[in-house]
Amino acid sequence: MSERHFGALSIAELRFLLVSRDVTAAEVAADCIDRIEATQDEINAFVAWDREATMSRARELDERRKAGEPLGRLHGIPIAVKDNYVTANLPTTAGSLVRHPLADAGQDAALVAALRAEGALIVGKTNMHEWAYGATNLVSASGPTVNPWDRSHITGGSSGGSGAALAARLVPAALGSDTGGSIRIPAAACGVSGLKPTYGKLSVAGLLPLAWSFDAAGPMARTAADLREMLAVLVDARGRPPRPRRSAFSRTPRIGLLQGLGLESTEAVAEVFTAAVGVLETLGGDVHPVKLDGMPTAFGAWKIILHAEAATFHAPLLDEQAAGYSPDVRVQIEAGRAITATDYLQAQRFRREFVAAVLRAGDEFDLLIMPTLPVCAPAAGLDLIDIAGQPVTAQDAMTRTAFLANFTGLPAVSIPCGFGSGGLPVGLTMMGRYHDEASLLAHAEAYQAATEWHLRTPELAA
Amino acid sequence: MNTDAERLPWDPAAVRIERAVRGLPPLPESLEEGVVAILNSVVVTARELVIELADAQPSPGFEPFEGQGDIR
Repeated sequence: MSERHFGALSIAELRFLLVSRDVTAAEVAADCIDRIEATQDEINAFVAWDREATMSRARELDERRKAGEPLGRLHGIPIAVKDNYVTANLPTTAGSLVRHPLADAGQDAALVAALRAEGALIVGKTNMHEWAYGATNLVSASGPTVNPWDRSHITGGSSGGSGAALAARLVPAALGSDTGGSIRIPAAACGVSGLKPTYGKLSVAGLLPLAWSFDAAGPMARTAADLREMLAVLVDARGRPPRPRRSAFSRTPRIGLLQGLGLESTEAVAEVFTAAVGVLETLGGDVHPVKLDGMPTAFGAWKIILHAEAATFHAPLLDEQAAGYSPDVRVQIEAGRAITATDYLQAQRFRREFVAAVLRAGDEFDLLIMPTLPVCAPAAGLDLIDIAGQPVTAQDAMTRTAFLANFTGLPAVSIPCGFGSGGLPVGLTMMGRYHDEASLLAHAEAYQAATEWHLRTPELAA
Repeated sequence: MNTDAERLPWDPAAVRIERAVRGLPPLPESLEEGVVAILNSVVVTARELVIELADAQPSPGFEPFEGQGDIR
Protein backbone atom coordinates (compact mmCIF):
# COMPACT_ATOMS: atom_id res chain seq x y z
CA MET A 1 0.00 0.00 0.00
CA SER A 2 1.32 3.45 -0.93
CA GLU A 3 2.44 5.76 1.88
CA ARG A 4 0.40 8.47 0.20
CA HIS A 5 -3.30 8.03 0.80
CA PHE A 6 -4.86 9.30 -2.42
CA GLY A 7 -8.44 8.38 -1.53
CA ALA A 8 -8.28 10.86 1.34
CA LEU A 9 -7.70 13.80 -1.02
CA SER A 10 -10.33 15.95 -2.67
CA ILE A 11 -10.92 15.87 -6.41
CA ALA A 12 -9.13 19.22 -6.81
CA GLU A 13 -6.15 18.07 -4.74
CA LEU A 14 -5.84 14.82 -6.71
CA ARG A 15 -6.23 16.61 -10.02
CA PHE A 16 -3.40 18.98 -9.08
CA LEU A 17 -1.10 16.04 -8.34
CA LEU A 18 -2.07 14.25 -11.55
CA VAL A 19 -1.83 17.26 -13.83
CA SER A 20 1.44 18.44 -12.28
CA ARG A 21 2.80 14.90 -12.89
CA ASP A 22 3.60 14.48 -9.23
CA VAL A 23 1.74 11.17 -9.39
CA THR A 24 0.45 8.85 -12.11
CA ALA A 25 -3.09 7.56 -12.51
CA ALA A 26 -1.64 4.05 -12.13
CA GLU A 27 -0.20 4.93 -8.70
CA VAL A 28 -3.54 6.38 -7.61
CA ALA A 29 -5.44 3.35 -8.90
CA ALA A 30 -3.11 0.85 -7.22
CA ASP A 31 -3.36 2.61 -3.86
CA CYS A 32 -7.14 2.85 -4.18
CA ILE A 33 -7.62 -0.85 -4.97
CA ASP A 34 -5.14 -1.84 -2.22
CA ARG A 35 -7.19 0.06 0.34
CA ILE A 36 -10.51 -1.29 -0.92
CA GLU A 37 -9.16 -4.81 -0.47
CA ALA A 38 -7.60 -4.02 2.91
CA THR A 39 -10.85 -2.68 4.38
CA GLN A 40 -13.36 -4.94 2.62
CA ASP A 41 -13.60 -7.57 5.37
CA GLU A 42 -14.15 -4.86 7.93
CA ILE A 43 -16.73 -2.57 6.28
CA ASN A 44 -17.98 -4.50 3.22
CA ALA A 45 -18.37 -1.30 1.22
CA PHE A 46 -17.90 -2.89 -2.21
CA VAL A 47 -19.55 -5.76 -4.05
CA ALA A 48 -17.24 -5.84 -7.08
CA TRP A 49 -13.98 -4.42 -8.37
CA ASP A 50 -11.47 -5.44 -11.03
CA ARG A 51 -7.86 -4.66 -10.25
CA GLU A 52 -6.52 -5.59 -13.69
CA ALA A 53 -9.11 -3.61 -15.65
CA THR A 54 -8.68 -0.57 -13.42
CA MET A 55 -4.89 -0.68 -13.69
CA SER A 56 -5.09 -1.12 -17.45
CA ARG A 57 -7.38 1.89 -17.77
CA ALA A 58 -5.11 3.94 -15.48
CA ARG A 59 -2.06 3.13 -17.58
CA GLU A 60 -4.00 4.12 -20.69
CA LEU A 61 -4.83 7.47 -19.08
CA ASP A 62 -1.17 7.98 -18.18
CA GLU A 63 -0.19 7.30 -21.81
CA ARG A 64 -2.68 9.89 -22.98
CA ARG A 65 -1.22 12.43 -20.61
CA LYS A 66 2.33 11.63 -21.76
CA ALA A 67 1.22 12.05 -25.38
CA GLY A 68 -0.09 15.51 -24.57
CA GLU A 69 -3.70 14.66 -25.33
CA PRO A 70 -6.41 16.83 -23.78
CA LEU A 71 -7.33 15.56 -20.32
CA GLY A 72 -10.84 15.11 -19.02
CA ARG A 73 -12.13 17.00 -16.01
CA LEU A 74 -11.87 13.85 -13.88
CA HIS A 75 -8.66 12.50 -15.42
CA GLY A 76 -7.37 9.71 -13.19
CA ILE A 77 -9.84 10.38 -10.34
CA PRO A 78 -11.02 7.12 -8.73
CA ILE A 79 -14.80 6.98 -8.38
CA ALA A 80 -17.05 4.29 -6.90
CA VAL A 81 -20.47 3.50 -8.36
CA LYS A 82 -23.52 2.21 -6.50
CA ASP A 83 -24.42 -1.26 -7.67
CA ASN A 84 -27.74 -0.27 -9.24
CA TYR A 85 -26.02 1.59 -12.10
CA VAL A 86 -25.35 -0.87 -14.89
CA THR A 87 -21.72 -1.09 -15.94
CA ALA A 88 -20.14 -2.64 -18.99
CA ASN A 89 -17.16 -4.23 -17.28
CA LEU A 90 -18.46 -5.07 -13.81
CA PRO A 91 -21.50 -7.12 -12.74
CA THR A 92 -24.61 -5.30 -11.50
CA THR A 93 -26.61 -6.95 -8.72
CA ALA A 94 -28.56 -4.10 -7.07
CA GLY A 95 -27.73 -5.91 -3.83
CA SER A 96 -29.96 -8.81 -4.84
CA LEU A 97 -29.85 -12.41 -6.02
CA VAL A 98 -32.56 -11.50 -8.55
CA ARG A 99 -31.21 -10.58 -11.98
CA HIS A 100 -32.75 -7.96 -14.26
CA PRO A 101 -31.97 -8.37 -17.99
CA LEU A 102 -30.70 -4.77 -18.14
CA ALA A 103 -27.89 -5.70 -15.74
CA ASP A 104 -26.37 -7.90 -18.43
CA ALA A 105 -26.74 -5.41 -21.26
CA GLY A 106 -22.97 -4.91 -21.45
CA GLN A 107 -23.40 -1.13 -21.43
CA ASP A 108 -22.68 1.69 -19.03
CA ALA A 109 -25.46 3.73 -17.44
CA ALA A 110 -25.51 7.26 -18.86
CA LEU A 111 -23.87 8.79 -15.78
CA VAL A 112 -21.16 6.12 -15.63
CA ALA A 113 -20.43 6.80 -19.31
CA ALA A 114 -20.28 10.54 -18.58
CA LEU A 115 -17.73 9.95 -15.80
CA ARG A 116 -15.60 7.68 -17.98
CA ALA A 117 -15.70 10.19 -20.83
CA GLU A 118 -14.07 12.73 -18.51
CA GLY A 119 -11.27 10.32 -17.59
CA ALA A 120 -12.65 8.99 -14.28
CA LEU A 121 -11.44 5.62 -13.06
CA ILE A 122 -14.49 3.55 -12.14
CA VAL A 123 -12.83 1.47 -9.43
CA GLY A 124 -15.75 -0.65 -8.26
CA LYS A 125 -19.40 -1.13 -7.43
CA THR A 126 -20.61 -0.27 -3.94
CA ASN A 127 -22.85 -2.32 -1.69
CA MET A 128 -26.46 -1.23 -1.28
CA HIS A 129 -29.77 -2.17 0.32
CA GLU A 130 -31.44 -4.79 -1.88
CA TRP A 131 -33.00 -3.04 -4.89
CA ALA A 132 -32.61 0.27 -2.99
CA TYR A 133 -35.79 -0.80 -1.21
CA GLY A 134 -34.71 0.08 2.31
CA ALA A 135 -32.65 2.66 4.17
CA THR A 136 -30.51 0.59 6.54
CA ASN A 137 -28.17 -1.35 4.18
CA LEU A 138 -28.63 -4.35 6.47
CA VAL A 139 -30.35 -6.28 3.66
CA SER A 140 -28.05 -7.07 0.75
CA ALA A 141 -27.12 -10.27 -1.08
CA SER A 142 -23.52 -9.27 -0.36
CA GLY A 143 -24.11 -8.81 3.36
CA PRO A 144 -24.59 -5.62 5.38
CA THR A 145 -22.26 -2.64 5.18
CA VAL A 146 -20.57 -1.48 8.37
CA ASN A 147 -20.28 2.11 9.56
CA PRO A 148 -16.58 3.11 9.65
CA TRP A 149 -17.29 5.38 12.63
CA ASP A 150 -18.57 2.48 14.75
CA ARG A 151 -18.57 -1.08 13.43
CA SER A 152 -21.66 -2.01 15.44
CA HIS A 153 -23.79 0.65 13.73
CA ILE A 154 -25.50 0.80 10.36
CA THR A 155 -24.35 3.00 7.47
CA GLY A 156 -27.88 3.96 6.50
CA GLY A 157 -28.89 3.35 2.92
CA SER A 158 -29.63 2.52 0.36
CA SER A 159 -26.32 3.99 -0.92
CA GLY A 160 -24.59 2.73 2.23
CA GLY A 161 -21.58 1.25 0.45
CA SER A 162 -20.83 4.60 -1.19
CA GLY A 163 -21.19 6.33 2.20
CA ALA A 164 -18.87 3.84 3.91
CA ALA A 165 -16.29 4.02 1.10
CA LEU A 166 -16.17 7.81 1.36
CA ALA A 167 -15.98 7.81 5.17
CA ALA A 168 -13.12 5.27 5.02
CA ARG A 169 -11.29 7.51 2.52
CA LEU A 170 -11.24 4.81 -0.16
CA VAL A 171 -12.34 7.19 -2.94
CA PRO A 172 -12.94 10.95 -3.16
CA ALA A 173 -16.35 10.60 -4.82
CA ALA A 174 -19.09 8.10 -5.62
CA LEU A 175 -22.46 7.76 -7.29
CA GLY A 176 -25.61 7.14 -5.25
CA SER A 177 -29.31 7.11 -5.97
CA ASP A 178 -32.13 8.59 -3.89
CA THR A 179 -35.84 7.70 -3.78
CA GLY A 180 -36.59 8.62 -0.18
CA GLY A 181 -33.25 9.83 1.12
CA SER A 182 -30.91 7.08 -0.09
CA ILE A 183 -28.06 9.47 -0.87
CA ARG A 184 -28.53 11.83 2.08
CA ILE A 185 -29.24 9.19 4.73
CA PRO A 186 -25.91 7.33 4.40
CA ALA A 187 -24.14 10.65 3.84
CA ALA A 188 -25.41 11.82 7.24
CA ALA A 189 -24.85 8.49 8.98
CA CYS A 190 -21.29 8.18 7.64
CA GLY A 191 -20.24 11.84 8.04
CA VAL A 192 -19.90 12.68 4.34
CA SER A 193 -21.74 14.91 1.84
CA GLY A 194 -24.43 13.90 -0.63
CA LEU A 195 -26.61 15.70 -3.17
CA LYS A 196 -30.04 14.66 -4.38
CA PRO A 197 -30.51 16.95 -7.37
CA THR A 198 -33.84 18.29 -8.60
CA TYR A 199 -36.09 15.47 -9.85
CA GLY A 200 -35.23 14.86 -13.51
CA LYS A 201 -32.01 16.89 -13.39
CA LEU A 202 -29.70 13.94 -14.04
CA SER A 203 -30.19 11.04 -16.42
CA VAL A 204 -31.44 7.80 -14.89
CA ALA A 205 -30.80 5.80 -18.07
CA GLY A 206 -29.22 2.54 -16.98
CA LEU A 207 -30.07 3.09 -13.32
CA LEU A 208 -32.22 0.20 -12.09
CA PRO A 209 -35.35 1.89 -10.74
CA LEU A 210 -37.15 1.73 -7.43
CA ALA A 211 -40.01 4.22 -7.94
CA TRP A 212 -39.88 6.42 -11.00
CA SER A 213 -41.86 9.32 -9.53
CA PHE A 214 -39.10 9.85 -6.98
CA ASP A 215 -35.87 8.23 -8.23
CA ALA A 216 -32.97 10.65 -8.52
CA ALA A 217 -29.36 9.95 -9.42
CA GLY A 218 -26.72 11.99 -7.65
CA PRO A 219 -23.16 12.38 -6.41
CA MET A 220 -21.67 11.68 -3.00
CA ALA A 221 -18.32 13.03 -1.80
CA ARG A 222 -16.74 14.38 1.33
CA THR A 223 -17.14 18.04 0.45
CA ALA A 224 -19.71 20.22 -1.25
CA ALA A 225 -16.93 21.44 -3.57
CA ASP A 226 -16.45 17.89 -4.82
CA LEU A 227 -20.21 17.46 -5.25
CA ARG A 228 -20.09 20.53 -7.49
CA GLU A 229 -17.23 19.03 -9.51
CA MET A 230 -19.18 15.80 -9.97
CA LEU A 231 -22.45 17.53 -10.80
CA ALA A 232 -20.79 19.60 -13.52
CA VAL A 233 -19.79 16.37 -15.29
CA LEU A 234 -22.99 14.42 -14.60
CA VAL A 235 -25.34 17.14 -15.78
CA ASP A 236 -23.66 17.07 -19.18
CA ALA A 237 -25.11 13.60 -19.77
CA ARG A 238 -28.44 15.40 -20.20
CA GLY A 239 -26.89 17.86 -22.62
CA ARG A 240 -27.79 20.86 -20.49
CA PRO A 241 -25.09 23.31 -19.53
CA PRO A 242 -24.70 23.81 -15.76
CA ARG A 243 -25.75 27.17 -14.43
CA PRO A 244 -22.93 29.48 -13.38
CA ARG A 245 -21.87 29.23 -9.78
CA ARG A 246 -23.37 31.84 -7.53
CA SER A 247 -21.66 33.19 -4.47
CA ALA A 248 -23.36 32.27 -1.22
CA PHE A 249 -24.11 34.85 1.42
CA SER A 250 -23.46 37.72 -1.00
CA ARG A 251 -26.67 39.13 0.44
CA THR A 252 -28.49 38.14 3.57
CA PRO A 253 -29.94 34.74 2.74
CA ARG A 254 -33.31 33.93 4.21
CA ILE A 255 -33.28 30.48 5.72
CA GLY A 256 -36.43 28.57 6.60
CA LEU A 257 -36.08 26.26 9.59
CA LEU A 258 -38.54 23.44 8.87
CA GLN A 259 -40.93 22.54 11.66
CA GLY A 260 -43.83 20.12 11.87
CA LEU A 261 -41.74 17.34 10.34
CA GLY A 262 -43.80 14.68 12.09
CA LEU A 263 -40.88 13.29 14.06
CA GLU A 264 -38.76 15.09 16.62
CA SER A 265 -35.00 14.61 16.75
CA THR A 266 -33.20 13.00 19.65
CA GLU A 267 -31.71 15.43 22.15
CA ALA A 268 -28.19 14.75 20.90
CA VAL A 269 -29.12 15.48 17.26
CA ALA A 270 -31.16 18.54 18.22
CA GLU A 271 -28.20 19.98 20.13
CA VAL A 272 -25.82 19.53 17.20
CA PHE A 273 -28.38 20.91 14.75
CA THR A 274 -28.98 24.00 16.90
CA ALA A 275 -25.26 24.69 16.86
CA ALA A 276 -25.26 24.32 13.05
CA VAL A 277 -28.07 26.87 12.79
CA GLY A 278 -25.91 29.16 14.90
CA VAL A 279 -23.09 28.83 12.36
CA LEU A 280 -25.46 29.74 9.53
CA GLU A 281 -26.55 32.83 11.48
CA THR A 282 -22.93 33.77 12.10
CA LEU A 283 -22.40 33.57 8.36
CA GLY A 284 -25.20 36.10 7.88
CA GLY A 285 -28.19 33.79 7.48
CA ASP A 286 -31.56 35.21 8.51
CA VAL A 287 -33.27 32.17 10.01
CA HIS A 288 -37.04 31.92 10.49
CA PRO A 289 -39.27 28.95 11.37
CA VAL A 290 -41.41 27.47 8.59
CA LYS A 291 -44.27 25.25 9.70
CA LEU A 292 -45.23 22.37 7.42
CA ASP A 293 -48.70 20.87 7.69
CA GLY A 294 -49.57 17.35 6.66
CA MET A 295 -46.14 15.70 6.87
CA PRO A 296 -47.43 12.41 8.35
CA THR A 297 -50.02 12.10 5.57
CA ALA A 298 -47.40 13.02 2.99
CA PHE A 299 -45.16 10.25 4.34
CA GLY A 300 -48.02 7.77 3.97
CA ALA A 301 -48.73 8.99 0.44
CA TRP A 302 -45.04 8.66 -0.45
CA LYS A 303 -45.16 5.04 0.70
CA ILE A 304 -48.26 4.29 -1.38
CA ILE A 305 -46.62 5.66 -4.52
CA LEU A 306 -43.32 3.94 -3.69
CA HIS A 307 -44.85 0.51 -3.14
CA ALA A 308 -47.16 0.71 -6.15
CA GLU A 309 -44.42 1.79 -8.55
CA ALA A 310 -41.87 -0.68 -7.18
CA ALA A 311 -44.41 -3.50 -7.50
CA THR A 312 -45.09 -2.52 -11.09
CA PHE A 313 -41.40 -2.73 -11.97
CA HIS A 314 -40.77 -5.91 -10.00
CA ALA A 315 -43.91 -7.92 -10.88
CA PRO A 316 -42.36 -9.73 -13.87
CA LEU A 317 -39.19 -10.49 -11.90
CA LEU A 318 -41.22 -11.68 -8.93
CA ASP A 319 -43.16 -14.09 -11.13
CA GLU A 320 -39.91 -15.70 -12.29
CA GLN A 321 -37.47 -15.28 -9.41
CA ALA A 322 -39.53 -14.92 -6.21
CA ALA A 323 -37.13 -17.07 -4.20
CA GLY A 324 -34.30 -14.64 -4.98
CA TYR A 325 -35.87 -11.80 -3.02
CA SER A 326 -35.22 -11.35 0.69
CA PRO A 327 -38.40 -11.55 2.79
CA ASP A 328 -37.91 -7.88 3.76
CA VAL A 329 -38.09 -6.66 0.16
CA ARG A 330 -40.58 -9.23 -1.11
CA VAL A 331 -43.15 -8.25 1.53
CA GLN A 332 -43.09 -4.65 0.30
CA ILE A 333 -43.43 -5.66 -3.34
CA GLU A 334 -46.27 -8.09 -2.64
CA ALA A 335 -48.10 -5.40 -0.66
CA GLY A 336 -47.56 -2.96 -3.51
CA ARG A 337 -49.32 -5.35 -5.89
CA ALA A 338 -52.52 -4.99 -3.84
CA ILE A 339 -52.56 -1.18 -3.82
CA THR A 340 -55.49 0.03 -5.89
CA ALA A 341 -55.31 2.50 -8.73
CA THR A 342 -57.53 4.88 -6.79
CA ASP A 343 -55.22 4.79 -3.75
CA TYR A 344 -52.24 5.50 -5.99
CA LEU A 345 -54.02 8.36 -7.74
CA GLN A 346 -55.31 9.83 -4.50
CA ALA A 347 -51.71 9.82 -3.22
CA GLN A 348 -50.48 11.57 -6.38
CA ARG A 349 -53.35 14.05 -6.13
CA PHE A 350 -52.44 14.83 -2.52
CA ARG A 351 -48.82 15.15 -3.55
CA ARG A 352 -49.75 17.91 -5.98
CA GLU A 353 -51.59 19.86 -3.28
CA PHE A 354 -48.87 19.27 -0.69
CA VAL A 355 -46.06 20.38 -2.99
CA ALA A 356 -47.94 23.59 -3.80
CA ALA A 357 -48.30 24.27 -0.06
CA VAL A 358 -44.59 23.62 0.59
CA LEU A 359 -43.61 25.93 -2.26
CA ARG A 360 -45.90 28.65 -0.91
CA ALA A 361 -44.47 28.26 2.60
CA GLY A 362 -40.90 28.26 1.30
CA ASP A 363 -41.31 30.91 -1.37
CA GLU A 364 -39.63 33.72 0.54
CA PHE A 365 -36.65 31.59 1.55
CA ASP A 366 -33.37 30.84 -0.21
CA LEU A 367 -32.89 27.65 1.77
CA LEU A 368 -34.98 25.28 3.85
CA ILE A 369 -33.06 23.38 6.52
CA MET A 370 -33.59 20.44 8.86
CA PRO A 371 -31.55 17.66 10.44
CA THR A 372 -31.01 14.99 7.76
CA LEU A 373 -31.86 12.26 10.27
CA PRO A 374 -33.63 12.56 13.62
CA VAL A 375 -31.11 10.10 15.11
CA CYS A 376 -27.48 9.15 14.74
CA ALA A 377 -26.87 5.87 12.88
CA PRO A 378 -28.70 3.21 14.94
CA ALA A 379 -27.02 0.04 16.20
CA ALA A 380 -27.27 -2.77 13.65
CA GLY A 381 -29.52 -5.03 15.73
CA LEU A 382 -31.97 -2.38 16.88
CA ASP A 383 -35.53 -3.04 15.62
CA LEU A 384 -37.21 -0.09 17.32
CA ILE A 385 -35.67 3.25 18.23
CA ASP A 386 -37.05 5.46 20.97
CA ILE A 387 -37.27 9.03 19.72
CA ALA A 388 -38.69 11.43 22.30
CA GLY A 389 -40.76 8.58 23.76
CA GLN A 390 -42.02 7.45 20.36
CA PRO A 391 -40.99 3.94 19.19
CA VAL A 392 -39.96 4.08 15.52
CA THR A 393 -38.49 1.39 13.26
CA ALA A 394 -34.97 2.04 12.00
CA GLN A 395 -36.37 2.15 8.45
CA ASP A 396 -38.93 4.84 9.33
CA ALA A 397 -36.42 6.81 11.41
CA MET A 398 -34.17 7.01 8.34
CA THR A 399 -36.81 8.06 5.81
CA ARG A 400 -39.51 9.90 7.75
CA THR A 401 -38.18 13.40 7.07
CA ALA A 402 -35.70 12.72 4.25
CA PHE A 403 -38.52 11.66 1.88
CA LEU A 404 -39.66 15.32 1.71
CA ALA A 405 -37.11 16.21 -0.98
CA ASN A 406 -38.28 13.29 -3.15
CA PHE A 407 -41.96 13.98 -2.58
CA THR A 408 -41.50 17.61 -3.63
CA GLY A 409 -38.73 17.00 -6.18
CA LEU A 410 -36.66 19.79 -4.62
CA PRO A 411 -32.87 19.52 -4.59
CA ALA A 412 -31.32 18.73 -1.21
CA VAL A 413 -27.80 18.36 0.09
CA SER A 414 -26.70 16.73 3.34
CA ILE A 415 -23.40 17.81 4.87
CA PRO A 416 -21.74 16.86 8.17
CA CYS A 417 -22.51 19.32 10.98
CA GLY A 418 -21.17 17.64 14.11
CA PHE A 419 -21.17 14.49 16.16
CA GLY A 420 -23.85 13.18 18.47
CA SER A 421 -24.32 10.19 20.70
CA GLY A 422 -21.47 7.68 20.66
CA GLY A 423 -19.31 9.94 18.49
CA LEU A 424 -21.48 9.28 15.43
CA PRO A 425 -21.93 11.94 12.74
CA VAL A 426 -24.95 14.22 12.33
CA GLY A 427 -26.04 15.64 8.98
CA LEU A 428 -27.50 19.04 8.10
CA THR A 429 -29.93 19.10 5.16
CA MET A 430 -30.30 22.18 3.00
CA MET A 431 -33.06 22.23 0.40
CA GLY A 432 -32.98 24.75 -2.42
CA ARG A 433 -35.00 25.89 -5.39
CA TYR A 434 -35.74 23.69 -8.40
CA HIS A 435 -32.70 23.41 -10.69
CA ASP A 436 -30.66 25.84 -8.62
CA GLU A 437 -28.14 23.33 -7.30
CA ALA A 438 -25.46 25.98 -7.90
CA SER A 439 -26.77 28.19 -5.10
CA LEU A 440 -27.52 25.22 -2.87
CA LEU A 441 -23.96 23.90 -3.15
CA ALA A 442 -22.52 27.39 -2.74
CA HIS A 443 -24.32 27.63 0.62
CA ALA A 444 -23.04 24.20 1.60
CA GLU A 445 -19.50 25.20 0.59
CA ALA A 446 -19.77 28.38 2.66
CA TYR A 447 -20.81 26.28 5.67
CA GLN A 448 -17.89 23.89 5.14
CA ALA A 449 -15.48 26.81 4.78
CA ALA A 450 -16.51 27.89 8.28
CA THR A 451 -16.48 24.43 9.89
CA GLU A 452 -14.27 21.36 9.98
CA TRP A 453 -16.79 18.55 10.53
CA HIS A 454 -16.32 17.25 6.98
CA LEU A 455 -12.58 16.87 7.63
CA ARG A 456 -12.96 14.47 10.56
CA THR A 457 -11.78 10.96 9.75
CA PRO A 458 -12.83 7.71 11.41
CA GLU A 459 -10.07 5.69 13.03
CA LEU A 460 -10.27 2.97 10.41
CA ALA A 461 -8.87 5.20 7.70
CA ALA A 462 -6.64 7.43 9.83
CA MET B 1 -61.84 -1.96 -1.75
CA ASN B 2 -62.37 1.70 -2.42
CA THR B 3 -61.14 4.98 -1.04
CA ASP B 4 -64.04 5.40 1.41
CA ALA B 5 -63.02 6.57 4.83
CA GLU B 6 -65.07 3.66 6.18
CA ARG B 7 -63.22 0.80 4.57
CA LEU B 8 -62.18 -2.18 6.66
CA PRO B 9 -58.66 -3.20 7.62
CA TRP B 10 -56.87 -6.09 5.93
CA ASP B 11 -56.24 -9.48 7.51
CA PRO B 12 -54.48 -12.61 6.18
CA ALA B 13 -57.76 -14.09 4.90
CA ALA B 14 -58.48 -10.92 2.91
CA VAL B 15 -55.00 -11.04 1.40
CA ARG B 16 -55.52 -14.67 0.34
CA ILE B 17 -58.89 -13.85 -1.26
CA GLU B 18 -57.54 -10.79 -3.04
CA ARG B 19 -54.68 -12.79 -4.53
CA ALA B 20 -56.97 -15.64 -5.57
CA VAL B 21 -59.34 -13.21 -7.31
CA ARG B 22 -56.42 -11.72 -9.22
CA GLY B 23 -54.99 -15.12 -10.09
CA LEU B 24 -51.82 -14.64 -8.06
CA PRO B 25 -50.26 -17.60 -6.24
CA PRO B 26 -50.72 -17.78 -2.47
CA LEU B 27 -48.10 -16.02 -0.40
CA PRO B 28 -45.80 -17.96 1.89
CA GLU B 29 -47.46 -17.76 5.30
CA SER B 30 -44.37 -16.14 6.78
CA LEU B 31 -44.91 -13.07 4.57
CA GLU B 32 -48.61 -12.56 5.20
CA GLU B 33 -48.26 -10.63 8.43
CA GLY B 34 -45.85 -8.13 6.86
CA VAL B 35 -48.07 -7.61 3.82
CA VAL B 36 -51.12 -7.08 6.04
CA ALA B 37 -49.24 -4.50 8.12
CA ILE B 38 -48.25 -2.48 5.04
CA LEU B 39 -51.73 -2.66 3.51
CA ASN B 40 -53.29 -1.51 6.77
CA SER B 41 -50.96 1.48 6.83
CA VAL B 42 -52.21 2.20 3.29
CA VAL B 43 -55.81 2.07 4.59
CA VAL B 44 -54.95 4.57 7.33
CA THR B 45 -53.34 6.92 4.81
CA ALA B 46 -56.25 6.49 2.39
CA ARG B 47 -58.62 7.64 5.11
CA GLU B 48 -56.43 10.66 5.79
CA LEU B 49 -56.29 11.44 2.08
CA VAL B 50 -60.08 11.54 1.87
CA ILE B 51 -60.10 14.17 4.60
CA GLU B 52 -57.12 16.14 3.29
CA LEU B 53 -58.49 16.27 -0.24
CA ALA B 54 -62.04 17.18 0.72
CA ASP B 55 -61.56 20.77 -0.43
CA ALA B 56 -59.20 20.07 -3.31
CA GLN B 57 -60.06 20.20 -6.99
CA PRO B 58 -61.98 17.02 -7.95
CA SER B 59 -59.17 16.04 -10.31
CA PRO B 60 -55.78 17.56 -11.11
CA GLY B 61 -57.01 18.34 -14.61
CA PHE B 62 -60.34 19.84 -13.54
CA GLU B 63 -61.05 23.41 -14.55
CA PRO B 64 -64.44 25.08 -14.13
CA PHE B 65 -66.07 26.70 -17.20
CA GLU B 66 -65.55 30.42 -17.52
CA GLY B 67 -67.97 32.33 -15.33
CA GLN B 68 -68.99 29.20 -13.54
CA GLY B 69 -66.62 29.73 -10.66
CA ASP B 70 -65.98 26.96 -8.27
CA ILE B 71 -68.70 24.38 -8.90
CA ARG B 72 -67.50 21.96 -6.27
